[in-house]
Amino acid sequence: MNATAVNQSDCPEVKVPVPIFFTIGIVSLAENLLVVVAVIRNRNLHAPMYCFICSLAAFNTIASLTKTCETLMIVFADVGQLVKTGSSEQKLDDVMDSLLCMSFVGSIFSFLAIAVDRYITIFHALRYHNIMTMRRTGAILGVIWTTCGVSALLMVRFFHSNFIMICFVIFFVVSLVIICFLYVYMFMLARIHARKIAALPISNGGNSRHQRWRGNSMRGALTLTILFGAFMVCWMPFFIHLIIIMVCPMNPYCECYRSLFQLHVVLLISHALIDPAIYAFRIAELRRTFRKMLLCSDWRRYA
Amino acid sequence: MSGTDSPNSTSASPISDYEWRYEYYDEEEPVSFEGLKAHRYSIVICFWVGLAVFVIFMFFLLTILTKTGASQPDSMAQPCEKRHRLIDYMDTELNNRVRPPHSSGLDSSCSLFKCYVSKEGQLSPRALWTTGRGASGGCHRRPSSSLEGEDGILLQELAVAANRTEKEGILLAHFSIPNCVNSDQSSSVVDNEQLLGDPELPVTPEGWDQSAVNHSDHNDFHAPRKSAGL
Repeated sequence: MNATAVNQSDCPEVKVPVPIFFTIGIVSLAENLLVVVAVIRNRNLHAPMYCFICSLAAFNTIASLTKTCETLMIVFADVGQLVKTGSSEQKLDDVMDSLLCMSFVGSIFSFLAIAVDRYITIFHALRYHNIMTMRRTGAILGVIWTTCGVSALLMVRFFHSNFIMICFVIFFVVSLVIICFLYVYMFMLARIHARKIAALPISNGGNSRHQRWRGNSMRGALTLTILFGAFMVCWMPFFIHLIIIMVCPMNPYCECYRSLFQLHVVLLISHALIDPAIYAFRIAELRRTFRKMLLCSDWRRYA
Repeated sequence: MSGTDSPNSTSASPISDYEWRYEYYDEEEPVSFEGLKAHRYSIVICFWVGLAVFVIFMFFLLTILTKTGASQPDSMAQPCEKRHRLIDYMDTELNNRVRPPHSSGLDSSCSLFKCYVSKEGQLSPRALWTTGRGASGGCHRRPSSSLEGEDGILLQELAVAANRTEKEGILLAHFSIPNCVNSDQSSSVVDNEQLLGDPELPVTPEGWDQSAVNHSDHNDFHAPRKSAGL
């Protein structure tokens, strides 16, 4: 079938080499597993904010693991070791699809949770420890994981129904809007305050503070752009793909977009690769824990 | 193109097989590519160009937000000045040094106090240093009994806070300059890098609420004055 399409179609499917999938999968698996282990081992990191980052890393770990296994199975199937239409293979494939859906939905929920947590940290700082207790964090994480599990089962069960895909897309768009709003709001109000501080008529150190504020503001703008930009660049193509499947399956332009499906999947799983760099590795305490873990020194301090 | 020339290949990939090869979209009739007006990858190009424009636009918007109003002179009352000096120290502390309370909490937590004290000159550094020495390291909860007003509340909270990150959060929340700056009441002064990159803000170990303000063995905080910056 695909051979026919390739011969006749001007938009052949773009195939991504299997080693790329493997590399991205294994590296992101290692990174995210490191984050999860570090947060669990270090008692200083048993706080709501780090729990959400750990949950994000856990979802990314599941995604990378599942994607790597799926790639492995495809390789075996191409070689001929596995029967593609066998029932056990199909069941295994369903399980892997469920896990992938679960981790995607969970990642988005975790981003939302991290954004809301940072929002509360900034704007309700004095009441933060009352609003975001560890018990509530545990409850929130429980709800997130349960919802992800249930929605993953539903998604895989009823994938051929357009309704599920529409729900998925709407969920993504709503999360995107909320995350964008929260971060930009935090950024703007922080700027207003920082600007007013920097504008104070202080005799000494005024200029240096002003410069420092400008430098920090630029860094903050860059951080926010990277955070949000990476989210959009990695997730949008896949969701546009889903929309296109539903809206214009027969259109030649849409066909050319859909021929890039493997590239979009690569982008999606590469987000699991860069998530630790954006969220986890920026936290000094986590970096310190990694260094201790990787250098295998001073375990007992963090036990 | 217009028909399925090889029905074998079409039937060779039933629905159940699509996960393996990402080919599910080719189940129906192949798409006709004749008579295309625009380039065939136009949707792809438009999408990526739009995304790039959006991200760059967002970045420039954010940088413009940082630049506008940066040079506005503001005639603030003098008491705000000392508070903001402290904020600079806080910014530096948060960005540069964060130590885990268990390992070297004494140094980092008390260095913040030291900055506070040395700048304001109202409290004895030694008093605060001794406050920090607890049984198990790190600045322990030491509620003060002789504090007054807003300063008193702040220092009380600081004394009661169990670790450095809590103290930072409290300081940050307090130094939202409600009197000096006409701003949102729920906002706090936050360094941007710390906001988005290194959120070391209030981290509450469990059991904080239960055990707070119960320890009265040390009362090394002496009453700060109004001019202490608050």
